[in-house]
Amino acid sequence: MKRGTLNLGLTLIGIVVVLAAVGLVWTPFDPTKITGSPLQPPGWPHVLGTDGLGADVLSRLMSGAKICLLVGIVSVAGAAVVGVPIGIFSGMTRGWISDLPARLSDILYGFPALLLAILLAAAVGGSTWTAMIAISVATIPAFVRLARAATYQVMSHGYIEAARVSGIPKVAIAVRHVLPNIAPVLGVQASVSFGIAILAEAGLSYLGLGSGPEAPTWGRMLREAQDYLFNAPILALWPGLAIAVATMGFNLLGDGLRDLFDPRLREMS
Amino acid sequence: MNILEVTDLTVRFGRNRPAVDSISFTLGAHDRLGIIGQSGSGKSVTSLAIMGLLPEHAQVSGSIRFDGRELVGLPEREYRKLRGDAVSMVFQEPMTALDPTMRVGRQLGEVVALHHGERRGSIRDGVLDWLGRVGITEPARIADSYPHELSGGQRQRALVAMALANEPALVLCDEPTTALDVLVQRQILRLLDVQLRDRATVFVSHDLAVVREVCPRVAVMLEGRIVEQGDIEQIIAEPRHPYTAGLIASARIDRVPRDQPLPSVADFYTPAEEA
Repeated sequence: MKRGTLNLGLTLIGIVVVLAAVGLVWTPFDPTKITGSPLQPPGWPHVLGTDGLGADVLSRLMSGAKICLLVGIVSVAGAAVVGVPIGIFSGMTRGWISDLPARLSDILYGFPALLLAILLAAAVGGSTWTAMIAISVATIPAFVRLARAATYQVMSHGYIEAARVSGIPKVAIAVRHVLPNIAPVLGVQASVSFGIAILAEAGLSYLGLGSGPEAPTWGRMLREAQDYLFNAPILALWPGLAIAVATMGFNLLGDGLRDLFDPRLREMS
Repeated sequence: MNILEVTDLTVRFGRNRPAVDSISFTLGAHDRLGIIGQSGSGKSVTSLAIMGLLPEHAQVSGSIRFDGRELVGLPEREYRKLRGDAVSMVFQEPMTALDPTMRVGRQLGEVVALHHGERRGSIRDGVLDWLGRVGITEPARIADSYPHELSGGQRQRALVAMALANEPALVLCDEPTTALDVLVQRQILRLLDVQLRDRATVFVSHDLAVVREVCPRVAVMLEGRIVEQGDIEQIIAEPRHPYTAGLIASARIDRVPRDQPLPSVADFYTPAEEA
């Protein structure tokens, strides 16, 4: 069944969201403090055990979920807010002024998002904010390109011509007619970008270019677990699993939404 | 006085043969002119040229005077004030000419509000009034519907309301009934006939019978040129151009005996490059 992808994606995202939401008000232990002896196996009271210093793994995982979603939301929203208007403008105009943002995006798109984020984070120094900004900048081209292509397609529809014939100004056409009609594809892109952003954030934290030591992120947990890989391999499993669940969730959601919005695919099912 | 005077209008895209080749016609304030021709004859390009909606790379020469004002070379800002207010257009495809994401009433209201910045309440009243005038029986329900919830005829009626909402002096109809079935086509033609009574109209179509219902005068376009122009009954009675003769013959299938092949335009006229 086609909806299966969508539902599985939503379930996986739901797990992460619940982890983060509960973590916002309550964690079993303080995630940044030593609350037990180091490297305890899963059990009670430390359900998922303790890390190399003795902090509670579940608490850190919940706190990491919060940061992961925050980075995802802020960076994807930021990229969309900048990229979509540029893309729509570029799609609605002709000539060099239309091509310029598209070509710049193509160049920027040529760099892998993670590489670009590392570059920016290395230049400015690592923190949650630089990670968000870096991932955001790296995600902008995807939105520019997609919004432009989708706008091109929408512009050929009769209702755009009808709006122009009625004398409706370009900005109003962009906001009231183009944007609502390209929103579905943008939603799919946002979901896919969200997955990439989470992965990029984990990568940056793993490299020590993301959030500082006070904020436990999944990438940081993974790096710390690396030191104990032979004594306590299970420590690497939890953040790895969390990253996989979150990334896969958003990718499946993106695929599911695409199937839902694309009438041709829908007819085939 | 003529409201529209088109003189030697030529539209060219790149280096190709002109899409519209020095055509001229005039239209009085209450006149109707049918422009008939096949796909690629330049009839739609002509209406786009009058609306100022040609793509930027189109080269336009000649003159289009509307109400004494030259439209060729008019800045976009000026054109925008004209569109929808003094000049408007009814489109061919009622399926695609309405925005699927917007309620019909809001789309109509958008046009009304644009040229007459009135209060919200009076815009709603104007929208319902117009939907009623174009023969929609439940204006309030239709206004709150999305385009896909309407029938083809209702959509076309809504489009007619959008085109006429600001009482334009000139209305261009680009194949307004082509996408409709015959019964609905007749209803819409009757509606247009009533609603366009006090306006100037250019009615573009490939269907001679449709043009004959609403226009006393017709111009036949072929390969960008007007090959014949004048009173429609006279042209039907004595076509001077072989292409026109073909159009008329192919429309009269009732005169064809059963075992005879249907006549086509090609029996009367063959384009130069294919001859």
